[in-house]
Amino acid sequence: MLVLTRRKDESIMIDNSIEIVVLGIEGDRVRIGIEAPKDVTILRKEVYLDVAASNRQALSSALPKDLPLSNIFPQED
Amino acid sequence: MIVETARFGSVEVDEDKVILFEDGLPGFESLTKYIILSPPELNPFHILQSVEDKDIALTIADPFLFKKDYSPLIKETVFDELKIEDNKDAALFTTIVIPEDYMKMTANLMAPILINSDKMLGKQVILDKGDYPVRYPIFKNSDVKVG
Repeated sequence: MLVLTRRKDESIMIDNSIEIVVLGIEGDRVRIGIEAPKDVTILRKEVYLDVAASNRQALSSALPKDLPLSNIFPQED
Repeated sequence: MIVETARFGSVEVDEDKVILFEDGLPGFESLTKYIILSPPELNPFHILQSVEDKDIALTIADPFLFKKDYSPLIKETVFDELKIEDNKDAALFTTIVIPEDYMKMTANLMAPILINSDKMLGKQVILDKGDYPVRYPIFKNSDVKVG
């Protein structure tokens, strides 16, 4: 991992198209601004991890046995 | 081709039914090839089965079955990435988590799975805004008719 120390208003460039700037520091929080092309996905990490956790819970091996699906979702003709 | 699955044993599928997820799925980033199985006994659910790992198979469903007004804001760049030229080639699914108390089943409306059914490309899109939850209770409102 590359570790850099920045002050408020200082920036980091990634490739030529992504810029990360420290907008402000308040106590234990850092406000971070990110400029990036539209096709770059930017997420809070915990959001990504939550989706990954949900995907693991959605594994069909976790399906309860004997799910009465035709009762829960009656077929519409 | 034969696909090994944990739940259904060996399944024969057309190679042109394999969907490529270039980024894999969150939690399974190295698995990029999947097929959709639709056994009648699981209706209305389908299984997004990894072709590369028989144990990785996610329960998915059409979100409009239980949320008719679902309108995820998916950036145009995602449509470009999946080479979707005609909107009728776009298919949307959400993953489903079914606990033992199955009436508490939830759908991940925050990260729908978008598939280009013509070019067989797919991606799980994590939405920007906080409008939709990762765990939407399917039976909380009246869009679903319960037997």
